[in-house]
Amino acid sequence: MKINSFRDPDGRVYINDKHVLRIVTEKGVPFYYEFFTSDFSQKLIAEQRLINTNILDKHQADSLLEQDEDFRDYFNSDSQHNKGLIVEHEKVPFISYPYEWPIEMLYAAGILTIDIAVESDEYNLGIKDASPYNVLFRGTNPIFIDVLSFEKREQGDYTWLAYAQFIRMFYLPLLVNKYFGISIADSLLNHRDGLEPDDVYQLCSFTQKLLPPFLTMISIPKWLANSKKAKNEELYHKKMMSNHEKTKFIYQSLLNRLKKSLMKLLPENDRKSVWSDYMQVNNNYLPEQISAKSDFIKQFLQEYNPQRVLDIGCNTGYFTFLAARHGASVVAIDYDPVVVGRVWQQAYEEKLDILPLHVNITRPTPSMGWGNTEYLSFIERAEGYFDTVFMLAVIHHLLVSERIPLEKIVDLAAKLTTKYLVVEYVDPEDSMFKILTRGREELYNYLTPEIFIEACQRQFDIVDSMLISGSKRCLYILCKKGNSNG
Amino acid sequence: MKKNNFFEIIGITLWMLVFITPVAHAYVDPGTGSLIWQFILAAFFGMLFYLRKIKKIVLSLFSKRTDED
Repeated sequence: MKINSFRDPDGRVYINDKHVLRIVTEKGVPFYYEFFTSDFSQKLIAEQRLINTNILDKHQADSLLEQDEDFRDYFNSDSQHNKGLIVEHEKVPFISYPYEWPIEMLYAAGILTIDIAVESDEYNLGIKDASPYNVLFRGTNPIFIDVLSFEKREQGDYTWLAYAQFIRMFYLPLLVNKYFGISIADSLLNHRDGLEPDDVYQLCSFTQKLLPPFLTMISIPKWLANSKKAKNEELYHKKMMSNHEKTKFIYQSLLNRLKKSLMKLLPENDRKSVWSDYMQVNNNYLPEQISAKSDFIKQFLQEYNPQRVLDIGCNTGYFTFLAARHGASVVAIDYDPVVVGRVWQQAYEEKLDILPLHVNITRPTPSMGWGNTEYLSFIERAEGYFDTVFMLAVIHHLLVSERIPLEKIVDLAAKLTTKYLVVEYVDPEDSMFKILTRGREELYNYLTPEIFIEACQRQFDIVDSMLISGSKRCLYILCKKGNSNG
Repeated sequence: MKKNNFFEIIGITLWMLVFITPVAHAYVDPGTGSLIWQFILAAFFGMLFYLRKIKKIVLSLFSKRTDED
């Protein structure tokens, strides 16, 4: 795994399997050296809101450059960066991107960003960009990772240049979700720098355009953008004031107003979707069947003690929570962003190590950005990371709704887990299977438990299994071939 | 007449906010409409700043009088 980031003129990031390194340009060294050793950055690190950062001394930097050929090439490839400071960041266990977050997570990242901007002002600092890509999640907790975002604020400067970016990347995606049901993935996957007021203006009705919040956040900015003043280059010149008390007041007021606007988009607690009530009312299990299934999973957790679990099709996270409460670090994915948001909310409240992501395993997040190398695909990030994969009550959706051949499902599972696969076989006679086939039963006549097992055994050994009594479903614990079962 | 003065003050404040200078070196796209809207808000908060000052002065005068009473 190798990622680099390069848009910021003050430095570059280099990530490989061992290190997360940042090169600060020579010009930026005095400021960032002071910042990294300041009380403010140490306070944010202690509060776990800023990524832990270690400045490499000359000896450490030289030995790293000597050992890591790839990093050495990267370091020397750019004349602006090969004289700067190298810092090493703590690695966040699993990288996620804003277009994989439910609204709850984008909201939390937005609040963290604006809070840091407000608090920075007390130290005469500011943040020069307001992008959700500056935030990662460690479990459910957002953490600010872009240390080069901090800059010294000039006395007398009352504007926040990242104001419009904050609106584009946090406010408008949450706004269009609330009013038009557009998911964060739809907003951010194809818009690197977020939504423009113009994009949203087209969605608004005539009356919406004239009423808050659309009037001040969409319509007026759109009308102003078409005005003569917008064509004047002087618009982009820095504005300064001589009265510093007034400057501070205006700047703080602007940020606080923006935060209040964002807080009006606080996600509601009981949002519904087709799948949000599945475990309570809409599922195919009798209470004793759920209990038998839970006992089987609990027994697996106790016996095999998985450390890193990927729960595919997590729904409201019933089995995700079982694994996390047992001590595993869980990444839980589902194609329904509403249930993913619920998992985040509950896991956040219970302080569990769960990273819920809006990822559809049949169309997983692609690699994105320049040369497709800026942001990794979900599969690239997941491969080799998890020792256990859960595929519970999900196989029939892949086979029927998505028309994925059984062998390919098993192959992907084997790619994603280094050891265990906990999988639920759902027979074509199962009532949910029948609902999904919608008259195409003959396509699945071939499928029997024997065929299923045969397909699995190409990649896995069977460790344990249990028929869910009174149903057409069976649970299997499989261990990847070449691993010992313990 | 009073109304005209009010708009004049707003106009001058906006002009001062929008056209006073050196060039910014940020790499983030500052937007256009949202940037101008930020200046308008800033002008509003600038006036609010003085109104608060006036309010404080008036309140302190009143509290002094009540102390003297």
